[in-house]
Amino acid sequence: MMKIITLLLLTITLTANCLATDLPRLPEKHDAQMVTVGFVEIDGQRYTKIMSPERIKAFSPVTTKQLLASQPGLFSGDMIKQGKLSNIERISGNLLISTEDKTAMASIAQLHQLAITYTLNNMAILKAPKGQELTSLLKALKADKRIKVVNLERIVNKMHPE
Amino acid sequence: MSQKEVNNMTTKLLKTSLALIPLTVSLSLAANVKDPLTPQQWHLKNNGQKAFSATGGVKGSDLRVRKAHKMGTRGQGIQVTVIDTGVQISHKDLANNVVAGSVDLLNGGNNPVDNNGHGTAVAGLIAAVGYNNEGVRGIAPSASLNGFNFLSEQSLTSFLASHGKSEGTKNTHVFNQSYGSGDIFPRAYDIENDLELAITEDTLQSVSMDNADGRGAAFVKSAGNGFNFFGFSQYFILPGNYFSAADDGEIRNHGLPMENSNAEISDSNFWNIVVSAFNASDQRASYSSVGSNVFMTATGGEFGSNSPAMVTIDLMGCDAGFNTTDSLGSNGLHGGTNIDPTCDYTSVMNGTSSAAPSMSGAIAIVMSANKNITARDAKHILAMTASKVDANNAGVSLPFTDSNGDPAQYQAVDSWQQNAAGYPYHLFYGLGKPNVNKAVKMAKRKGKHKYKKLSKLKITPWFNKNTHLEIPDAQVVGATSIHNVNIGKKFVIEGVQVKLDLDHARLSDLSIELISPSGTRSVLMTPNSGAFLGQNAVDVPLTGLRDQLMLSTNFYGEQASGNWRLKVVDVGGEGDGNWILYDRVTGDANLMEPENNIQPGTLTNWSIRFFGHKGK
Repeated sequence: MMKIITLLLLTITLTANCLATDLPRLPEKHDAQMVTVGFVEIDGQRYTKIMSPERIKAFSPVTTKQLLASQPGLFSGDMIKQGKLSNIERISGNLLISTEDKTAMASIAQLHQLAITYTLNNMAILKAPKGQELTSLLKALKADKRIKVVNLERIVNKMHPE
Repeated sequence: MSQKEVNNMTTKLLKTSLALIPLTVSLSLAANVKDPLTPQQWHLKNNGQKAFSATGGVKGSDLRVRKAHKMGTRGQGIQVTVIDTGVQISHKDLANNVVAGSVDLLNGGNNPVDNNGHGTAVAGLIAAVGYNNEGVRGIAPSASLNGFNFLSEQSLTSFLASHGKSEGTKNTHVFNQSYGSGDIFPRAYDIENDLELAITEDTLQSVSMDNADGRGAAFVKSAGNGFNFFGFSQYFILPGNYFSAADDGEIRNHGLPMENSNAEISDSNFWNIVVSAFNASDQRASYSSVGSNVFMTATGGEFGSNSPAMVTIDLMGCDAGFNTTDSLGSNGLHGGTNIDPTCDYTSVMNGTSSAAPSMSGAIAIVMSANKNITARDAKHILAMTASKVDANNAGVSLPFTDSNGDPAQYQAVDSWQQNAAGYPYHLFYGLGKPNVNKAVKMAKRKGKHKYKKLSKLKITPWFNKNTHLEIPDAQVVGATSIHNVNIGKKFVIEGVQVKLDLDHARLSDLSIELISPSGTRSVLMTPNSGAFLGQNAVDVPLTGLRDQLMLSTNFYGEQASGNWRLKVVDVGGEGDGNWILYDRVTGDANLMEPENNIQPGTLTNWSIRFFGHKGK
């Protein structure tokens, strides 16, 4: 739904002073400098996988293109974005589920090899093992008839001091 | 009276007097101990001081707290948790009030490291140690304090730990949340399918009701600093005339808030006590986001250079926080001046980030005045004793050209009104500002005038209304749907929530009003708001709102049963609705010109529910 923004727009010329006074620029190191390293589909929506330039350097001498090809799927710690007008989301490796029968929670966790970290009424936070590919896990959980709803936790860090 | 009775009474009086001696001595000693920067803390007592800025404010524009302090009511026995960038718990003017329970959510451990300074400044406003000959004084200077650096790690697990579901927060009476987020896309209130929303809401509810051995907790939250513009992702969202208004003799966004605080789903939640900000001149702080969800307003100040910001603690040392060597000359305090050579204090803290801890401090002090009252009672007492800010504010009348091409006016923000229960309210200020002295006095009353606790909080089911009403384009008449609510018993309102579905191709044209059976009007969403501007900035435009949640505090104390009217008015025609998407990385400012809606909008469904208690 929220794909690439179409900006057929008038660009306003502004003075540097005006910007400096009223609208502070972002610091040089910022999320906006992230580099695309792949794509992933979650709940039928296509997302761009991104990575910080520093992290890419850690893969050196692998090129970004090679990195792009080597990163299929979705893992804990991955960062994703959907279109220009969106926040960056970090995948925690946690899944939130709700069930009709809350007594089924333990056997659901066991079957899918997940750890229950928090329960509330008929809802739970489940943690996937490190290194687990998450889109296939999400599909498996959705196919489990005991589960009403499953959400992948995406940490946005969108709250700011205000 | 017999001799025996006289003797008994004399003995009793003597005992009482003797018992009072240590208290009197300690109070008078305490009164003589100065916190050297406190005379500049205008939010405690405003006598027009400059607070290290160029000009002073207006006498009396404050929280009215000094008398309560003098009487010894200072927040003792009340625990406040600061959920923020962290808290420097070793700060010399905080440490004596710090209790166990803080958590570093980023790295583990019990030191909630604050590399920013914001959370530390917030903590200082609430509970900087008072009467210790150091720096400043908190609003509740004897309250206990711990902190979480939630803003560094915003996972659901971090949320739970910092918002009442951890050992260190089970005794917390007040949670301060000086944070928020701007958004330009709606988020449906769908707790069946949005489990993060369901878990966070349930947490806020249970902790509000049951925490701290049944006294419950208050979650205080800042309304936001987006009146003029707000941040979203890497952008600032600005009104279309942001840069041209001054040259064209216009007011930016016609004086309406760019960020309406009711759009953020966590702020339209009943459990969050949302606070807007006023300044030392008793006016709305220039940046403060506002909305019908604002419960009260509190001290936030301006920027500390031309007019006062807040004076509070800062990260210790001249190389960290707001007060650094580099800031020498920016005001009278910063940069290692003689007044504060080690840069441990600041005079530029502001924002609804300051208004929230002002309210948190007020709640803490009222709770400490009467150990039998709940956090909800303290909120109620503060509402009953609140006073107006900016009493002559006229509201905002929006001029526009109607669909016939004729000039029209729409009263988008009312002046101060009084609801049917006698509470004054204003979209900018909620029920007004705290008068702590008055509130403490009410909480302490004894005998037949003793404060009577609120009865158990009740939450009604949603009352749903299906409809299919056309919203005429650019016409004040709007579309009005009437819903008869019969709760049966007497039900006194503490908050009203509405969720609605509507179709409209340019949502920023809309004003959404809720009118009570008593005729009280509350504008749930002001027109020209940036809340849903993403609608037409994506390849597949959104058709409207689904399960959009909004809260109003304006009906506080009114009765719930009767005919409620939801009115949706389209006040935007051709050429209206422009906004600017300002890229904070490149500096590009793109004017967005969404076309006027070709088809009239349609209100298709709305629901209403009430929070309150039985009573007349």
